[in-house]
Amino acid sequence: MIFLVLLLCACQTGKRTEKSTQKSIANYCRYSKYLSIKDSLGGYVVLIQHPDSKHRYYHLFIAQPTKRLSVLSSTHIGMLSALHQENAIVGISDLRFVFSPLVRNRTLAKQIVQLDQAQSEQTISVDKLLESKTEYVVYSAFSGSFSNEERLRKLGIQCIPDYDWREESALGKAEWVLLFGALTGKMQEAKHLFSTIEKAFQKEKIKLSSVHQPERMISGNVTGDFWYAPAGDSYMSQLYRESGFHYIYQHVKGTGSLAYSMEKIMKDGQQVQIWMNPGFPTRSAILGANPKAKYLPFFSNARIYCYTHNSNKYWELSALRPDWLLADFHAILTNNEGKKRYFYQEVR
Amino acid sequence: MIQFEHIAIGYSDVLLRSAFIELEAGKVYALIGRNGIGKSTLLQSLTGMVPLKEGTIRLLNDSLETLSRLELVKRIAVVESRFEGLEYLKVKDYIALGRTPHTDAFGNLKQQDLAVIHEIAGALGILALMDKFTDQISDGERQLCAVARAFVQETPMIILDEPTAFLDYLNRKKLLTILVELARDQQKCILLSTHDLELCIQEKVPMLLASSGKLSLNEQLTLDEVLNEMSKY
Amino acid sequence: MKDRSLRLIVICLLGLLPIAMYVHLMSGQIELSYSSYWKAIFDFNNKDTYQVLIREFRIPRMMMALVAGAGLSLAGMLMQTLFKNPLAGPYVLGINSGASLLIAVSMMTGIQLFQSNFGLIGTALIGAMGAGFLMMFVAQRLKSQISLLLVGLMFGSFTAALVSMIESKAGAESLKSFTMWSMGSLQQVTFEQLPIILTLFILSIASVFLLVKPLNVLVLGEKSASMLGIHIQRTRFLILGITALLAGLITAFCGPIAFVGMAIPNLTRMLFRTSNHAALIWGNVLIGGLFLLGIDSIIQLLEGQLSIPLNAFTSLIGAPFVVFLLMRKIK
Repeated sequence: MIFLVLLLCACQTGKRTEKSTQKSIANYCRYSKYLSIKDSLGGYVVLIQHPDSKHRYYHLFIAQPTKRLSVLSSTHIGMLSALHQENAIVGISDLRFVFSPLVRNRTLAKQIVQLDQAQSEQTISVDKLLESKTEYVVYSAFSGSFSNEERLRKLGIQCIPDYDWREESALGKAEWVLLFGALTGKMQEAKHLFSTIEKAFQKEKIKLSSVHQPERMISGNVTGDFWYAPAGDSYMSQLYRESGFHYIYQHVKGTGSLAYSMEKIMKDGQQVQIWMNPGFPTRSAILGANPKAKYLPFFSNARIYCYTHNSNKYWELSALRPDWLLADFHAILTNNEGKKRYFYQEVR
Repeated sequence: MIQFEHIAIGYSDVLLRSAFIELEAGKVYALIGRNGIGKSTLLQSLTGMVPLKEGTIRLLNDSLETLSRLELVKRIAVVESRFEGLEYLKVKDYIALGRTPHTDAFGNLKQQDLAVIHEIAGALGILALMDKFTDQISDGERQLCAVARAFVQETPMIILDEPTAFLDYLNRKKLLTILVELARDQQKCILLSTHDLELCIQEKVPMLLASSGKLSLNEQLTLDEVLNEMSKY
Repeated sequence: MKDRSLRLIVICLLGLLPIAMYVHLMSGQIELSYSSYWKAIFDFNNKDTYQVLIREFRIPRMMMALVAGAGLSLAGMLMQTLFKNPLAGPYVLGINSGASLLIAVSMMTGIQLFQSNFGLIGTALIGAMGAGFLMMFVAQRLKSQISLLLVGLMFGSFTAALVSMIESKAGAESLKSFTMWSMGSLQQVTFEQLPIILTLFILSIASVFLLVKPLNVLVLGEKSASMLGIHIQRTRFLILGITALLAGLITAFCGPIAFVGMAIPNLTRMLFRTSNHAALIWGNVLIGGLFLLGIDSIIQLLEGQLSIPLNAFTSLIGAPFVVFLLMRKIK
């Protein structure tokens, strides 16, 4: 009986010690809203908060690095390739959406398996996952959840949610590279890379703060009957604002997309001189999808920019390199045609 | 009025043959025979749906084969054997459809058409039903409407394929009586296939008997004689 | 022979039509002056944004709502009479499947069937008419209507399967474009295309009026109709041809629009309580046009708060209606 009491006290003390020790261990992540990585017992403790409910956490202990990752989104490939860890990838969703040359080659050489994510993350091929001997699957949960999680866990495969796409700050997004650093045992490299990006980002911001551009800008395009544009509090809109763009919908509340009728765009677009992200690389391609685009007041006269001449590169690397995005924006805002651009090209 | 000149009818094999048979105007003829013997096939041969295997049928001196569809439907009218009524189709509109061979390209009804309709409906005692929907009257009433529709077509010959199959006894008797009267009054030749042997004998209706591959016309037969003939296959 | 009450209903509907058209034109989110409307049509200045809005966006959309609603309802009426089936619609013979298939091939496989802007519409039109001709050819060879209906349904299933396969291999961008096309839209029509659309539309209506007599007799079924002197093969051929033209035209410019072609003919019959097709033609054209104008006006009015795709809304209204119809029939 006394023995039990003593044991209980010991446990309590143990807990308290742990807590106080934890207080002093720093979280590697400073910008991310959902990701937290800490050293622990020679490995890393990763805590990922669910974006929609504060009390749901994903908890993972990484004891040792892995060389067997399956990644379901472009940004994951981008981050791993930035760390030169393409060899750690054994599974991707679809070759059609890959930019990284090394990953493409490895896939063609059958060293990486395609998981046939034709429609959504929920329909990936579990057989192929097993065949590739994956240890971890990194998913994005665009549709809210990842239904395979339970099943895969029983098969010994850990599933990790990557919510970089829910982050509202640019650096918060980029910081997820640290997760990949932790997974592949390249934490130092990841920290170094992120630090480089952080500095470059701040530098670009300072450069942009000296740009005063009164030109009005619109972003997005018509899909079907509606024009979809980023809402005022969304990641893209914030980035625009920080760059000094005068984005016409930057004051409209919301963190997602706005769906407006063509009429509204016709009316609001009167003075627009820059058009970002129409989703097509040429004017004729824009017209091909929507012949009525020619009536938009800014169609012929505005400067149009998009990344669609190389969409895969954009989707892989823009989340990690907000400094490149800002550099591109700077070139656009100052109308500097000679300057090298990472993602954007003028649409003619 | 209508002559069967040594005809043979059937689809692939011959079902029935006949010698020379003539049906006259002003009379009702009953087509009698066991099921499957070829009664419906005979009626379909009359309407041009099934070609004759041998011989000719003449209607008002013209061979059936030489008639165009329009000419044919101006000489023969078919009473629908089982009309279940149609939603939103009024009795008067249904009967008026019988005037189709006579109306213009748009189906407009003239005074004359309306007069015929009114007269026939009166003769059949269904004037009270004219504004009702055909799916809201009784089976017996519907059968009379079908008869009316055939009569307003104003053809010399009218065919009915087992019109009494779904009627009760009183309605069957009533229908046959009306047909005999109308045939006589309007000088039409009416041919109906039926199993109502006793009624036909009562009404003294001549019988076109189909049995053992032969079609024969018999003016007066007793019930026993008919049953005897029919039992031979 | 039209009853007085039917005539009254038709006149009321005719009176409602210009009102519905006016309401539709005014339903956009932006306030526009009457003079803009006048100038847009008679004194067009393509530099004036508001005039462009009226001429290139509002007027085509309004006319298309009217034509699509009326045309699909009329085609649906033809199909329902031919097949004596209240659940038939303009798409049962796979006409929009044909359009769908060619559009899918055109958008998602990189095999461009036509180059110019006219291309996509031309493709859809050819697909639709092609399917229509196929059905007409098949109809000549088949005796029974049930067989024709089955062939149409099988053709629809077959093309849907092909489209599915193409979708699974398509890139994300083209898949999105195709999905958008399949959602149906009244906004793709341009002002220049209106004359041809209206001409074909009016021609189709006139043709249907010429078929009133055979249509009225066809309610009795093909056999009885034949015995009343109606030329069945020729009538079938003409009905199919007009349906293919109407459904094909509308699918080409709008994509597939659900439910209108099936629900409105039933509604018209219930309202008019007649089988006389002269009245039913008026009814379907007017009620169909009014319906789609109404639906699209509501969509426009809600555009500030909600973005509702066209087919979603027609299905929202149409599906409960179908259930209601079925329950009535079972009773």
